[in-house]
Amino acid sequence: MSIHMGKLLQQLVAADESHFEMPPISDYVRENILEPMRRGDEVLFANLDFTKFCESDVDAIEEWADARIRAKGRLTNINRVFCNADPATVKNRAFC
Amino acid sequence: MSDEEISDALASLRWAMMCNHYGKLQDFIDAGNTSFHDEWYSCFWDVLGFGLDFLNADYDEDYAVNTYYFGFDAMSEYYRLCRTYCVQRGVSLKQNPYMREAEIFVENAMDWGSGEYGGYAFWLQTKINHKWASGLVVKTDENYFGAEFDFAESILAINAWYQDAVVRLKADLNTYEQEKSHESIK
Repeated sequence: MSIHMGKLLQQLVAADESHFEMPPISDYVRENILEPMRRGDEVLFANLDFTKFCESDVDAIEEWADARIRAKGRLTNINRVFCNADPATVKNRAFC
Repeated sequence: MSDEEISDALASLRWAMMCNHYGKLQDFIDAGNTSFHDEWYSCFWDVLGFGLDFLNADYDEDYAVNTYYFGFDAMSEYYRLCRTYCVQRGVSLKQNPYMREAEIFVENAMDWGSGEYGGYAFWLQTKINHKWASGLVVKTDENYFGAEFDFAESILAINAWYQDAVVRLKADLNTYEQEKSHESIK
């Protein structure tokens, strides 16, 4: 197997990054739920204003997190391919 | 938190939102669910713990069937009041519109989608000869899977509905009684 590094780089550059932007959620959800979760801060249910978000906000965060998980899985697979690839021998001598 | 942890922890937020919708958020928090976590089943049992007044669960190993019996104070009172309604209006239980109304509500509340969660069945007990003679029986078999969220929401919705319905039925009985006494005075 051979890996064309140039093509791979082009595809990575052209990859759709929209999945990894912030999900379509309100400022309240971003500031009081998602960002504290990402930082690992404790979010107390008692401190949340449940009138300021709904199911669609939770769905959006879940879809965003799942897309990132899938992307991470694919990158892990690519990494595995690189790690297991045998180095190709050059056909011509590089140095005289 | 990693993306995986965020995704898993969102489940507890969904449970909290459901409890909040039915006015049970404080009960949910008091049960130990103060913050995000990924213990899905503990949420289910916590909601059952404060969402009803009596629970009996049994498992038949031979047929792999779980049987749950759910009792609600409001439901018991409702069916007692239904008897009072029958006596007051001189109608049978079958003719009592409150009996049918409750039956329709429970049927809708327990409809979790056609076949999506596999094998389950339910029926209402409407007797009043002892404290928990009125209740909801739910059976699940080995084909049942993953309906805990809908299951728990049905329990909260049914309890809330009977609590409201008791108030309505009492008001109806009182109004009828007052009208009857006014007529007898005339």
